[in-house]
Amino acid sequence: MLTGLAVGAGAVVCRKAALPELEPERWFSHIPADRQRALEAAVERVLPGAVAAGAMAYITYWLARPPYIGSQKEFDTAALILNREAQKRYRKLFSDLAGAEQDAVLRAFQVGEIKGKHFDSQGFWQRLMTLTLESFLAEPKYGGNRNEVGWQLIGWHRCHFAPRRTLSLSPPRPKLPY
Amino acid sequence: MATEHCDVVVIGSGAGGAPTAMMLAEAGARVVVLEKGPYYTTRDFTHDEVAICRRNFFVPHADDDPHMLRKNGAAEAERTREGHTSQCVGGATVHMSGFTYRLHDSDFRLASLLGGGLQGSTVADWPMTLAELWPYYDLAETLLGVSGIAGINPFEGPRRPFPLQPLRPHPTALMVDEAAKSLGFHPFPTPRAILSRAYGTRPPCNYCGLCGEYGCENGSKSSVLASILPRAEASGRCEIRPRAFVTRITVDEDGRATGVEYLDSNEELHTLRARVVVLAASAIESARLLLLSANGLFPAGLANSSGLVGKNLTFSNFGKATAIFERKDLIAKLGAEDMELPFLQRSVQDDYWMTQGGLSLPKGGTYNFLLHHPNPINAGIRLAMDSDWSLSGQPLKDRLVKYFRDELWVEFEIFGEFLPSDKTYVELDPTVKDRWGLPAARINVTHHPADVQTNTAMVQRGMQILAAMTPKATSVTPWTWGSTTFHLQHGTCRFGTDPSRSVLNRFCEAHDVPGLFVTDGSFMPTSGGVPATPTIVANSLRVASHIRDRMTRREL
Repeated sequence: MLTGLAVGAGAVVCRKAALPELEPERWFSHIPADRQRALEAAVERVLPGAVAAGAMAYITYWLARPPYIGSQKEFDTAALILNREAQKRYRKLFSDLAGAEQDAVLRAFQVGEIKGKHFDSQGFWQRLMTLTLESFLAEPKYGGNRNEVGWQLIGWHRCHFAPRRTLSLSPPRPKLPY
Repeated sequence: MATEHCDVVVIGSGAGGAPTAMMLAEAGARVVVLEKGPYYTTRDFTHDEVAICRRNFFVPHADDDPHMLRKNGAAEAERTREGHTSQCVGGATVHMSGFTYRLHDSDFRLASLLGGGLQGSTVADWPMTLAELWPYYDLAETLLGVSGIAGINPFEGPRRPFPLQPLRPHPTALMVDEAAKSLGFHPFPTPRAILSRAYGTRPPCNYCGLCGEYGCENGSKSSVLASILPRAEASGRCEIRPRAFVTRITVDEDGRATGVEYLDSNEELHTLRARVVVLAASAIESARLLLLSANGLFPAGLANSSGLVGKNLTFSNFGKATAIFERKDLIAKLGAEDMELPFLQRSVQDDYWMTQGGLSLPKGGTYNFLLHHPNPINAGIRLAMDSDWSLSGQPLKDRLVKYFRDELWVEFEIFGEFLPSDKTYVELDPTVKDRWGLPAARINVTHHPADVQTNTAMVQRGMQILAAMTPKATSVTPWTWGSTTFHLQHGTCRFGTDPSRSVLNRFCEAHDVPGLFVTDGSFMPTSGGVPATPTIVANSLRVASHIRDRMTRREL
């Protein structure tokens, strides 16, 4: 488990939260390296740039906490299945596939084609997408959205819901009396 | 087990509990407010979307403290966090959006207006009139700090000016005005529990846009946490105890309420005795507590001789449609100024009572026009969901950029009548328990076919307004109709004059249990066509003045 990521502590609005130092080798360190790479590759196919922005640290962090505690096993299994499917279809590891091939495997997850005992591939795909999107657009203190790259991409600022290029607090114009 | 004494114990510190606590403490009573959740302050309210909106900041995890939900008569109930309004001091008013409409006269006599009722519905008239509640709405708006403008909405009777002028609207409000008026509707500025100017010691809104789902770090949103509870505490006679979970309401051998038992944050059990017990834990949790408080005198649950505790549960009937505009089109017409303001601030109540269309339920509700919630993660997931989770990779990234850079989503949402029926109720789950070992609430929800029909008609009417806006939207899409707004909940202890057909009397005191009052949304026999928060605050003040008068006369 990662330490030094106290949720809620010291997070003041509009003040930049301190970025925790995360060590990459600790992400999913309990599963073999080829499966770690399979998950990384899948996350990158969901949202290009997410891994560089710290998605794996973010996902590791939340799989150890509610409401995702139960999903850790699911992600471990999914890593196994990603490689198994890649072997079956292309005789390669998932992380060694071309982008289009990886997408084909992931598509099978999305439509629920992949069956496994106690494994819901559609549910996994949705959780993977949710956590990846979260990682890219969340407060950086959880390990993702490093240097606020996700926010910069969309022009979001933590203080406001949109950039304040044009806001004036002069009285309403006559066109709109109220 | 320590025993303490006070005059009034209030269970729950939200819209129902806080006003009563304030009024009785100011009148001289010693009041203790027991709140299940923590005591947040403005320092705890951040813009951290993950922590505040997507985890357990306001509502507990379903593993710890679940609700069980059965939809449309399903055999199996699913574990969910739906139906928890909020667990913190201030309740759900802390994360509300603050749309502060008053009820209409038709809300008080729906059964009569429907010719005595409607097949398959347990709809009932209220045992009071709008006129009785009217002065308490004035008081509620003054205490909270509500902004708006009187006299524009023709469907609301003559009223006092709002304490504060309306918030500054987004320029697209002009387009909604034009479109709605061209179709014969009467748009008006949405009254908001948000400060447009400094009010007392509280600063005006900074237009950050993160209202709904968030706590206001500025103190400008008029939650009871920002407005009423500080006043209650300033009386010196009101003590708020956070993380205090009430497990039982106690009665004496005559069936009179004597106080409560509660667990503190160390799971230690306390007994608190009081002359008056005020229950305001949300319609679902209040009903659950009454059922959990069954004893020898009340084997079927406290105050439940009618068998109606937990029955007649209503929510708000939800519908929504989205119009997607190109920012450049909007700027060409309206100018770039103010394009980043967060509030659209327009509402329409022409369909509060729908005479056209031959609907079996002519009671509609309110259209609230607004901009799509600004949350970025929520936007990303919405875009993924709209594609049935097939949009990923670079196309997803491009779509996300387009959404934020090039588009503006104008939407309306509906607050519609949710008909009460035998099929929507809350009960104790036979097997599932919360982390304290007490049976969880099991919520059963089935929409009456007539309210789905009316809601669908409303969504279509609202979409006409969106489609009539110029410049034209690139798409107008209905997103949902006839669905359920779970955090607006009412009806589980309906008030009435006949003890066999209601739980509470017209002053919201239990028919069976003298000294026990229920002041959250539970008392409402029908949901009304607006969000109930200001109504709950106003009614809580009405009930509190009744309690105060009787305590003064030593009758309580």
